[in-house]
Amino acid sequence: MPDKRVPLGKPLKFTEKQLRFLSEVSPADIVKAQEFWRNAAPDEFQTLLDAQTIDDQEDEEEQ
Amino acid sequence: MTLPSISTSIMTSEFGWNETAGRYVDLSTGRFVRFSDVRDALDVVMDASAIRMNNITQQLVDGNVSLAEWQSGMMEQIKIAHTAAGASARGGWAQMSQADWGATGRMIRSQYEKLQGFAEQIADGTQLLNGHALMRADLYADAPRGTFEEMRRRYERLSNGMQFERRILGEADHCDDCLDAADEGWQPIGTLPAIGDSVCLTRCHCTFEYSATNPDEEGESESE
Repeated sequence: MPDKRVPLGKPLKFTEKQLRFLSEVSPADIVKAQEFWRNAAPDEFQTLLDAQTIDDQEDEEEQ
Repeated sequence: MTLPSISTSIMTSEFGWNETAGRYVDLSTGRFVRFSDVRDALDVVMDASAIRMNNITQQLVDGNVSLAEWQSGMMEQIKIAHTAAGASARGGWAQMSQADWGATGRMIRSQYEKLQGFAEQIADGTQLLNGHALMRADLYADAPRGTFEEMRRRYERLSNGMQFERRILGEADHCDDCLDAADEGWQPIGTLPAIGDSVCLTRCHCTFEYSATNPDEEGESESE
């Protein structure tokens, strides 16, 4: 059976301007990252990044 | 670019973020979450990211995808991983400002530049498609650890009034660069090499500790 390797082809080459644009974090990127974290993180920390700012609590102690 | 408000609800999270202390809070106990636990959670996420990158790269080695497809897939995963790492250091999605996303984007761009070089070396044969290529791809999977530490450093400097830092060696074999940096002791914040800039590259497990004053001079307690 003939080897059906995909041709390697050329790499993607970007200008500095294009790289700057491509590296910007978009709302869609954030949604993907949210989903990835929730699926990959340990069970007890799946909602960690959904934390909201809370008021200072005087009795907070380190775990 | 205006980012939409991220639709998260405090009802769905078991954690809060104390902006003054720069710490996550376990809402069920009211206690701070150790940053070592946050880093450990990030490591688990990065392991999952590494699997994806390894799979994509193995596809390239096996001739199942083109170089451009591989590069595109790696870029996507790099962005996902660094986006999550940046947010995890800053207290979560809701705490990330436009400037914080800009800082994260700059770190992503740095990875994209390196990846482009990697891809070009594959194209011209300098980098063979073998086990070494897979090991090299793994470096991209480890890189978000550096983004986490840089975003922490950024918060400590800009939002928490910290002015000094010192390198803390992680639980790993240490390269000479990391040993030298740790030997420097307390230095003005932002002056020590970033995590990932040492000879050990993105395999570095070092972290930083911060202080508002120089403990060597004043004997004050520091912030982790």
